[in-house]
This record gives sequence, structure tokens and C-alpha cells, in this order.
Amino acid sequence: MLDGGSNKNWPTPRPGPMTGEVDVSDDALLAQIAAGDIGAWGTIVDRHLPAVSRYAASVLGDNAQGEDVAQETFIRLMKKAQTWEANGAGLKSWLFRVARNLCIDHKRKKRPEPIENAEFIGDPVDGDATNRRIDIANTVKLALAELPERQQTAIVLVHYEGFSGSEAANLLDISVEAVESLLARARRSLRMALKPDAAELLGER
Amino acid sequence: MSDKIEPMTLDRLCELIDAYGAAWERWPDQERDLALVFITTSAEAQGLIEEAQLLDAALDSLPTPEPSAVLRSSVLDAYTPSKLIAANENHGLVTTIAQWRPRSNSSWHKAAAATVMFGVLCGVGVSQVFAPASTIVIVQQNLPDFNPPTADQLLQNDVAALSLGGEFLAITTDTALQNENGNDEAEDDSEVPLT
Repeated sequence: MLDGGSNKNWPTPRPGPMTGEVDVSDDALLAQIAAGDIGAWGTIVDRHLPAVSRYAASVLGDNAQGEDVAQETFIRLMKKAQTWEANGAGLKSWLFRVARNLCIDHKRKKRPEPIENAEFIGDPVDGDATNRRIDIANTVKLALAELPERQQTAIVLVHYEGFSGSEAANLLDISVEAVESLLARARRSLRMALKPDAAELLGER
Repeated sequence: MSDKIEPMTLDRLCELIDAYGAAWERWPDQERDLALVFITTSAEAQGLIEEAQLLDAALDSLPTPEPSAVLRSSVLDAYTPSKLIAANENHGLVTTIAQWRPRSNSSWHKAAAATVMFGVLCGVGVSQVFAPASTIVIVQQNLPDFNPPTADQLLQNDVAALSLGGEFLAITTDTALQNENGNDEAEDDSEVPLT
């Protein structure tokens, strides 16, 4: 688990000292991290941690486990920074590849924890609407959790994290056609899984 | 899909929608414009889009919360310069994490944990922190600018000495004493000004 409780006030991430530019490349930041630049570390963390955390939480169906995976992914990155080679597939792909492997390791057969609070999806005015949204979100979450791992990863990467088909193909080591096939099967399975709740979820009658 | 751009057909549009859904932003760049033009001419294609939008909306109902502040803080705090990692791995008795960052608080206090002793040699050269073995020492440098440290450890009479090479305005130590099982027993926070 996370060794939380730190209340340290970290500085706002800043551009690397060598460039003075806002959009420093990941490779340049990793070189700065390897040289001991904590500002570069902060920039990399803020640039990629949210997506990795969301991905892991979605795949595992559990926010706490997702954050554990995200933390472990970045600890591995910290060590990897020393030997990082800029001509690789790119940091984003590397991070998601590591996170995916960690998710596979973490994955249990148990069903994901249900969404119990309305922190992210609540309707401040309509309590019934909030309850409906929670029900819908739980149904979708369970349907996602039932997908085979590769289909699940493909749909999370492309639908939720904005990966292109070719980026997802690179991460999964398959062709773009194969990614599209995974996505199509995933969406078909989701549609079937959501069928009993179609009127609510899919607007069908 | 192939790299060669083919004329858009209903079959290919079906494949795109089946895979990527109704949001054209997710479609492959090289096919997007052709697909959008095709949709304007095909009622069947428009029907497929409307159908796919329903599943997209269901998927979008799943909240994707941002990582917690605790996670961000933990990941940021995990940053350890490689030389200090190496020093720790070489000696194993003192876990050392060095961090440097701007700090506005120049005052210092010393917690009363009598079992921990700190010694600091001030100057441009080497600073030292002494602590009992089996103690976790976190060293934070108070530097206005980036300046990588060097570090080494020496164990003598159950006291571990951490030597830091570099210019320090102050060193903050957060020390957690551990029992035989590795569990924290007590904590001590001290900030030692060097100037």
C-alpha cells in the first residue's frame, strides 16, 4: 500500500533547467532525472501519473489497487531513468506496459469493489439521478471487469485514455487490425452484458 | 486497416464504429475525413453512429477519478538520486533518501528523541549525519538550485555515519526508529541549519 501521510509541500513542477521551455520532452526530462533534477521528476509525475493511475484503477476495478500499481510503476521508472534510452517506444508506452504487467499480477478473481459514493458522479440537486448514475456506473464497471484482459486493456486505453489504435497496438505488441478486432469484440461483449439494463444504459426499449 | 488509404465504404465504416465507437476523435487520423464525409451521405451510417453513441454514453458514465493527493505525494517523495540509492544498497543498514527542493522555512527545531544523535560538519565540503543502526534517515537538502549530492555511509560501533558531499544550507532529517520486526517505534524530526 501507499506510504501515505506525507504532507510535504512539493514545488510546482517546472521546466527543466537546461531548456527553459514548458514542453520539455519526456526523454529530456528523464535525462535530467538521471542527473538528479527533482523538478524534472515532478514534471514527469504530473504529466503521466493521472493516466497511469486511471488506467490501473479501471483495469483492476479498484482505486486503491490502481494507485498501488501506479506508485510501483513510477518507482520502477525512477530506477529505469538511469539507463533510459531515448530511441525506444516512448515513455508513455513504457509506463503503460509496466502498469499493464503489474495489473495482470495484481488481478484477482474477485469482483471489483462497487462504487458506493457519489463523489465523482453525484447530482447535487437530484438524489434519484445520483443513485441511477451510481447504478449505471457499477453495471459498466462490472461489465468491464468481465472482459478478457486484452480486450479490457484495449478499451481502457482507447476509450478512456485517448490512445490511438496504433499506440495501443504498439503497447500490446499486436497489429492495428488486431487492436480493432479486440475493441470490436470488447464493445460487443459490453453491449451484451449491458443488455438487461439496456433501457437505462443504452436508451433501448 | 492498411497503411494505404482506401475509399471509405460502409463495411469499413462499420469496422471503425465497431472498434472505436461513435466519437470520430478516436478514429484513425488517415481515415477520419473520408469517414465523416461518407456519414453525411448514408442514412445507414448515421444509424450506426446513433447506436454506437448509446454504448459510448454508457461507458462514459464510469467515473475516472484523478489520483489522490496521497499517491502524488508518495510518488514524488519516492525520488531518490541514484548515488544515494547505491550507497544504501552497498551498506544496507541505513536507508537514505535525499531530496532537495526550495524551502521557505528557515527556522529549525529539534525533536526530543534521545536515542538519536546527529552530528553535522558544516561547510562547502562534507556534511555528516550520525544515527544508530536500524534507523531510517531521510535527508533533505535545502538548496535554491539544483546541485546533485554525493553520499557514502560508514558503520562503526552501531552508529551509521552518512556523509554528504555538496553545498547545504540545511539538512532536514526525519528519523523513524525501528524495532526488531522492522516496525516503526518512534519518530524524530529535526532540521539542522548549517549557515
